[in-house]
Amino acid sequence: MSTSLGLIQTRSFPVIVRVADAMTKSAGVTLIGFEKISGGYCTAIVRGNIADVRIAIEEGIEVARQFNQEEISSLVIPRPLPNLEVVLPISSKLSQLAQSRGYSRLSNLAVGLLETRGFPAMVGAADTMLKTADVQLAAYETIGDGLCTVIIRGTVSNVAIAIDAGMYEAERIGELNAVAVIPRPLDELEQALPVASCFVAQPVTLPVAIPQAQKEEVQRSERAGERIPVYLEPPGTP
Amino acid sequence: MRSTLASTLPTSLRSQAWLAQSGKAHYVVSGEVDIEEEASIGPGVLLRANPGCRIHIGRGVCIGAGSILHACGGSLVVEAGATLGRGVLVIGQGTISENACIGSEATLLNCSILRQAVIPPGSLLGDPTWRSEEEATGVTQTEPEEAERVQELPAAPAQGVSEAKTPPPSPKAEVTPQEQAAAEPAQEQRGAGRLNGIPGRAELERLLGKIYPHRQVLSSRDGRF
Repeated sequence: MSTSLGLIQTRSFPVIVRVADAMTKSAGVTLIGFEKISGGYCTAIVRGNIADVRIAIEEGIEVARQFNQEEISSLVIPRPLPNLEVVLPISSKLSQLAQSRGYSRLSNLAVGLLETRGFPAMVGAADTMLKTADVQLAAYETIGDGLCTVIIRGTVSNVAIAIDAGMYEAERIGELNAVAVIPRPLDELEQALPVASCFVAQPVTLPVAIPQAQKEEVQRSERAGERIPVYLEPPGTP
Repeated sequence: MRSTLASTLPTSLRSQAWLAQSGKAHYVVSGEVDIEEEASIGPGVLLRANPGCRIHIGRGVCIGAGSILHACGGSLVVEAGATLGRGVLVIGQGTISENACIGSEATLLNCSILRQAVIPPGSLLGDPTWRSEEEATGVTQTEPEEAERVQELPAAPAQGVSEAKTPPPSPKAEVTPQEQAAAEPAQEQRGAGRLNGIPGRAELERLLGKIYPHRQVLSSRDGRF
């Protein structure tokens, strides 16, 4: 595989998801996944032709700057060597693994992400969001440094209102770090996002009709089963 | 604008305000301003309360010539016996407590002053950036000319900051509690405006503005939270 590699790193999960969304929509790149080392550092990995990767990374940096991220680090490698791909999680095998996990019941819906520093604020915000609008809590994600992100799915208007309400609740309980709304994510992005197991529909195997050898029942004749009363005459009677 | 404001005032307040203006004093009152008796207000003083805000001038208060008191985002209370020097500028909400003494040409941005406190002349108290944050949320709907004036504000006190840092003539023990008192409202303000700095907030606001075009009017109150 001789495609180029692009990496971009920020210190927030909603921001990196939003960046990945912008990257996948800006050029013909494939989102491989998110690499979450601890300490709040998240990296989005994209592959594609060198021109596409360059456009995508430039776009990603621009979006990350709009999200007030000071520490952005990015990299474009035009032709990574095969050894690099074997060892590091940058090859497209990762996405194949992600694809094989089953079909999410929450696809084709807008995504809302809300990140707090500390767990109680996240739970409180998630509760408020579920009570505010018709949204589903899809999953949560921790990236270290006390940062945890709650991911909700629903229609765009529901998600926007839910995030707006959750934002105030999170700020009341603890510390809010970042929010993001993705009105219509691409399939790749959806597959890279975590989904709780209760929403994953495992492929069901349909029952196949196998011809089985059936035992033939021996048809008894009617007469065989007929009982004929036999009267035995007692001896000595004329 | 001023005539419409005056028409919304209660009659007692309005008559008081107009009496003060047409009588001996030469100061201008606009909005809900409540001046108690025996308060002396110098010529050229401007007392302006934004819609929903209030200015209360206590008994025996002395306000020097050319001062401007502009209440916005809450009520501005000048308690009894306080003295404001010439050309003092007070903007925002807060309380100037009893018998406080504000030196001439001092600027108080959205902060409170303790009792008996002495503020040196030409000093700047409060967070100079507070107004711009509120402006960004669009909480207060200011007139265009006011918005222009507000944008000039952060540039002007920048010089005042250095003056405030120079050792004031008053004893230092008195200055520290004042500065604490000044810092507290500033922190509150920052807490309310903190949501603005959250990554993604601006984008969410744009999205909500597109989905619900009339939402700003409905939820302008919770912006203060």
